[in-house]
Amino acid sequence: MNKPSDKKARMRIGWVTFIALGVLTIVEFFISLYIRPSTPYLIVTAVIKGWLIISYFMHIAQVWRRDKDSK
Amino acid sequence: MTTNTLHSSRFSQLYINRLGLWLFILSESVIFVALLFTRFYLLGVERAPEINQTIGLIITGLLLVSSLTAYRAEVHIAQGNRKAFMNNILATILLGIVFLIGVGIEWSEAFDHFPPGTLFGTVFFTMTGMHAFHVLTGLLLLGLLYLRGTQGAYSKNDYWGAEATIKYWHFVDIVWVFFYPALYLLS
Repeated sequence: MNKPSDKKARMRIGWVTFIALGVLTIVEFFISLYIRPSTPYLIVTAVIKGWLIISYFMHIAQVWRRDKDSK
Repeated sequence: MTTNTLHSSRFSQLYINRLGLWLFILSESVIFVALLFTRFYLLGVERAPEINQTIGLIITGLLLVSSLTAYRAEVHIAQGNRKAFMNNILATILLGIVFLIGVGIEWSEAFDHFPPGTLFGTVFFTMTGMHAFHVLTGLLLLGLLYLRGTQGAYSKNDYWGAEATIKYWHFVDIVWVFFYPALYLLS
């Protein structure tokens, strides 16, 4: 995790996640404008966004990969 | 074998810390899930047509950007780059403050269109109020993080305090990911 190449990779993951979140936010905004009923689609986009944050920003996998990540 | 030895042989302190934080986040999320269910129970999929969509979209964007800067701060401190860490924490704090200002503007409009005495007003002010309170506590923690950072705390080998605060900030972001469509977009 402390190697420079790891840093680049993690930064890239951060940017890709952020862009995906931004795109999904715009998508859900347009869903609310043009699709009726919008509720099922909005729930799906919100769940995907939540999963992206939990997986890539909060690193939930650390909980079950303790040997690799723990110091 | 003592209890401490048993624990250190199977779990590192960091792992225990992380697990504890996730349990805390899980318990906190129960409050917000309850609020979401309450919203649907009371209002169905209706929302107030007067709600300010522009402010909603802007403050959502601000919170997403703040999650990126918080993430970058964690990556930088993991590499021992203190200056970049501090800069990103400061950016996160500023974005969080602007988010709260946006909520304040939205509230001032909401008082005119759907005051707390109305059904949608009750739901809106409760949900955004509870979330804003958590943003505020997140900002206080980030401020403490920044202050301790200026005093030389945290390094690439010891940054659990930073990691925990940043994870909490992401949690606040996740809550908004669900509250934003529930309050602004459903129809």
